[in-house]
Amino acid sequence: MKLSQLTIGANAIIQSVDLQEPLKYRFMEIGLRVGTVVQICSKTLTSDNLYLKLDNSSCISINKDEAAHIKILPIDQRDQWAHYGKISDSHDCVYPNCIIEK
Amino acid sequence: MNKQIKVAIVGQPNVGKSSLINAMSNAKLHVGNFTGVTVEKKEVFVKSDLFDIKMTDLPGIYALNAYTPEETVAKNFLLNEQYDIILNVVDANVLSRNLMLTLQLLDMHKKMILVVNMIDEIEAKKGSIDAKKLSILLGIPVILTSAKTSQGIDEINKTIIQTYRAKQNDNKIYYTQKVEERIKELTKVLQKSPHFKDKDYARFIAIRLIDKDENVYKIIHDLPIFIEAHNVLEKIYSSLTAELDEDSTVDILSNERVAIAHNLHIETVNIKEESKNLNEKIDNLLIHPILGLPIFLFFMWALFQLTFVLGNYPMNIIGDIFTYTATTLADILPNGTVNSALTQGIIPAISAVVMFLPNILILFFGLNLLEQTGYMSRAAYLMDGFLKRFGLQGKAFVPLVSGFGCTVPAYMAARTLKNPKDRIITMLVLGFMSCGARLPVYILLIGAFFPTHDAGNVLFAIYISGAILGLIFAKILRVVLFKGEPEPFVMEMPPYRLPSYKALYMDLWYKTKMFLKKAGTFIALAALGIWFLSTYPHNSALEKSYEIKIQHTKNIQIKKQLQNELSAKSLEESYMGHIGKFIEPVFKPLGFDWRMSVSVIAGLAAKEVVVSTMATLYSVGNASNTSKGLIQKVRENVSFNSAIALLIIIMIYSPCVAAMSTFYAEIPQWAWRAFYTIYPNVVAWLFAYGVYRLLSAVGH
Ligand SMILES: Nc1nc2c(ncn2[C@@H]2O[C@H](COP(=O)(O)OP(=O)(O)OP(=O)(O)O)[C@@H](O)[C@H]2O)c(=O)[nH]1
Ligand SMILES: [Mg+2]
Repeated sequence: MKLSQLTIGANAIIQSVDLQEPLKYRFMEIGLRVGTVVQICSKTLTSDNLYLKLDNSSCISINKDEAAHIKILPIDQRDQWAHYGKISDSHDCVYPNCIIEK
Repeated sequence: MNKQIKVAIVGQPNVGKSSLINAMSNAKLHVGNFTGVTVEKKEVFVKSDLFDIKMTDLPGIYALNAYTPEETVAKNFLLNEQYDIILNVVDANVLSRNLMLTLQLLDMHKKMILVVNMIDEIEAKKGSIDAKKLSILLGIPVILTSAKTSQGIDEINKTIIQTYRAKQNDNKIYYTQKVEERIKELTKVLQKSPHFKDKDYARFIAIRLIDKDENVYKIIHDLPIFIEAHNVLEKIYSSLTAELDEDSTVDILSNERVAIAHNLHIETVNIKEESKNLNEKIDNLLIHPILGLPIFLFFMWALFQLTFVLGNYPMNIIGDIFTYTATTLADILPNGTVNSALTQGIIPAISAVVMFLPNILILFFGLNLLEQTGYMSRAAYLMDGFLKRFGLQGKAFVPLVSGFGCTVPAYMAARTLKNPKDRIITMLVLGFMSCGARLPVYILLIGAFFPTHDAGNVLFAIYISGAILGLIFAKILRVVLFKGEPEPFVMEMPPYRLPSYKALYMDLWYKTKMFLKKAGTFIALAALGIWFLSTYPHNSALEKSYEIKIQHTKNIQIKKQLQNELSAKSLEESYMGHIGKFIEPVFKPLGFDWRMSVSVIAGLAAKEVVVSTMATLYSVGNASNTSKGLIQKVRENVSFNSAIALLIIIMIYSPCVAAMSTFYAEIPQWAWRAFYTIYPNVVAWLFAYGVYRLLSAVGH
């Protein structure tokens, strides 16, 4: 499913951002990246612009055209936080001081 | 002399970098609750007992791969300039996203301090951040601050000095094994070049190259090591992406940083899940799909109503004070040059400008609220779809609205537009957004020709017409000269914040000071020049002949009439009269007399000069009624149709010289500079002529 098809208020996890560089990287930097939980808070009258909430904290706005290139997996509220655990557990990389301790 | 510590203030947009500097010093850097407020580096000095700290406030950057021109300013500074410490400011509310930049900065292996700002907002949510743990994990000092409550501000200075004195510690970020191997491989190759002998610097360059940083790629492109480094780099690109099953090494590095940042967040941030807050409730109304735009227009309408209605009271008082001063001085001072220069030249001119200061301040107050509350980004979101139909993009809304305040920073604000075509179209139509300096002309003409109860609406209509014209021209420019689609809109929506009263007060106070300074210097000098040119040369024969006539007349009414005739004739024969007559044919079709024509031309220097020139010319040319209000004089000397034509000219023609030179500095192409210099004036004249003829035709 595409982000542009998500209904207002529903949550989803971003699965892929299939945009051209450097826009793809701007989206990633601003928080629209694989694994982010996204919710559409509002749309403009013409539905050209989407008002999104990311990871239940920051808000951004993008165009519907770009949202059509973002693949999502709708989730229900309960699964949202489990997903965070997955990201943090799966990573074996460490901060500088942990390396020093090793 | 104290030793200087150079500190680069770096962080993502809207994290409070400029606010922090203001809190640490007595600087008055511009702050606002939207991304891209600071678009140029600014230096601020803070003195302590042993050290002078030079802080450079930089535009916000999301990552080291700069995207927009203003981000390039920050990136170029970080890569090419000399500084001792990076003070990385992050927003405590979105720590994990902000840490993505922190991790890239750590790659630079410079002395660094992390300032976690907006901690007051975390505390308000009953949350906390473990600064000690974050500091241990990152290997750099971490300070929790609030630029709003001044929490932690004193600690910043101390930490800067401590960090400066301390040895550089090993605060590198280590990536996963496969990535680390490639970084080491490329670092070794780079170290063969004398440019990258320092291992840490070579490592940083290697990481940037793997991160596909075009600026860094250009640095090595011209070095002898390029061919070898390039070959290794290509190998790294293909092997890493194949092994880790990603499209690009940029994704790989980014994923690694995301994971580190997430972990740091989990280890150090403690915030309970947020309930539906006030922010969302306000958003439900302000960005409502149907009501959002009408609400925004209502706010703008209300602002212009207030600008006129509220501003009118002090305006009359200020006007009266100046009139009283001029008449008193005219009586006290002996008749002659000084008397005339002061009471007919400088005072009417300064009065004509200063009396509109309250109106201008009300307008600026409203615009400041728009900037500080977070409504600006929402309005840009609402306007994007609409602006796109005219070939502009939503982000252009910020410079366009800033243009209602002053065109100079508005041109600079266009740096936030990535696409050069979007940027130049926005800048070419920005002049249609009437700046605060044009307000005096509008209020003067509205005051003279419209009933008070309609004045606010007329003012609003003028501003809206300017904006509509700007949109039409943007569309024409997009279709004819700048074919292509505007850049996709992507903008952060910051939480709503109550305006910082200190920032609001400082901004208005600063603007008042600058305005009065301008009135007391530039405008006074211009007025003196206008007065001189309109008083000299004296025609003694003419004066004598009139003096005789006046002496022989007993009737006071006729005496007054003769005096006025003399003034008018002298004015016509003055240098200014000749200049005016030379210019007059250009404006004659619009019904302008030569005094209006001169005022319009003088307005090219600064828009306030239009009213000050009119005030001087109508004073000099009207000897017997110096004390009469300017509005009254305009009503007597200018027809309604010409007043409307003048309004249109002022609304459209070239902005002031300061704005024009900013445009020239920002846009290097001569063709666009020439176009920009000519087209608004041609358009202004044609429109004014069209409307003047139309009004005449309908018998106005
Ligand atoms: N509550 C709170 N608000 C803050 C704090 N610091 C800054 N702000 C507000 O955050 C907004 C952004 O502040 P700026 O200082 O303009 O941010 P900046 O990082 O310089 O932004 P750019 O120049 O756009 O990169 C303004 O509305 C400030 O009033 C803080 O510590 N607490
Ligand atoms: Mg700033």
